[in-house]
Amino acid sequence: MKYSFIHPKPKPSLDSDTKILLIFLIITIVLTVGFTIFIVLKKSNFIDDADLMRKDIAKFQKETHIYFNEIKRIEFLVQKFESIQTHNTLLKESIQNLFDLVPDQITLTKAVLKKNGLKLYGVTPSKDVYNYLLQAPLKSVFHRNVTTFYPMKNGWYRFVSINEGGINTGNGVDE
Amino acid sequence: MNFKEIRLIRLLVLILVYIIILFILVFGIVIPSIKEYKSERKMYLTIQNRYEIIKNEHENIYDKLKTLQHKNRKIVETFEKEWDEKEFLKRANSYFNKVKLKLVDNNITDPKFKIYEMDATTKMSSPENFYRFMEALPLMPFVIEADFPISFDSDGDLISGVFRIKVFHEKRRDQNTSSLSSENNVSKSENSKR
Repeated sequence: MKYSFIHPKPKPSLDSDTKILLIFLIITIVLTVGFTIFIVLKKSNFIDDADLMRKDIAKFQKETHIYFNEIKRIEFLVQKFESIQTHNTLLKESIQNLFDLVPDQITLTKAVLKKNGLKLYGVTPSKDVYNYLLQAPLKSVFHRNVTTFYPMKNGWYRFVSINEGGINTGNGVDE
Repeated sequence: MNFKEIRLIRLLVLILVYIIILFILVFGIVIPSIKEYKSERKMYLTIQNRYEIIKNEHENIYDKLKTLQHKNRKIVETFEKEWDEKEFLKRANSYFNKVKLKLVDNNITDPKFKIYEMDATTKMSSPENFYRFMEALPLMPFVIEADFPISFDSDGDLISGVFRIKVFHEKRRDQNTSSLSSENNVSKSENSKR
């Protein structure tokens, strides 16, 4: 005997509201965990890149130091080279100028150039020729001049001229 | 209490549980990880900034070095070349009738150079030979400095000239930049990939 016009249905263990809330909860957890994993991965990526950059920085600094020393070395060598060439040019010019000072009437037989002086040996027709044509320019170059004359049989004079003072040929390179 | 009221209260309790779980997730996981991310990012940007500055400086110095090396290659090679008396005599003989060298000192104390000091005894027909020799010194394969004492003595038709020369040879370097330059090229390609 039936007491109802509809068939009885089994009662669902979760009602519709609970189901919706559970779905919400699951979606929220998935999104939150997914987002957190993304953030953690990104962070570890930053850490790895930063480590690599730190290593590169150390390498660059080491190389830069070596390059810097090499630049200093080359600049020093170039400066030294230029100083040597300037010294050579000045030396050549001072010798050339010195020989240009000697007039045609006077014959030099020997010239000794030192850092702080010059010794000339030669023959002059007279003391005056020597004094006017060679002694005067030598006096303008050197601080102290001493000349000794030795008469020759033909009336000419042998002379030894000692001149003291600096012949400037430039200075070296400071390190 | 009827069924409707019971259902409403259950729903409210469930919503409260949901909100509590949401709060726990946000304040327990999301916010701390964002904080850590931000601090790491800040550190990363600082390092990246420093990296860029140092990399630029490195590249500039490398370029400057390459330019200097290229421009002054000959001078550096001249300082690096070992002293060879035969080669010098061969070249000097084209300026003088006769050249002889006598070693004066090769133990001059200098931190950077090994200096050979020698007296060159020469025979020449005129001082012009000496001047031409002096002008040719920068073209020699060695770094030579002519120095005092210098003497010229007439010897018949010829002039006997004696002068001191100093040959500068750079002492062995302690760094090898050529090997580093290849390493640098590798690191440059790696950085460009980044």
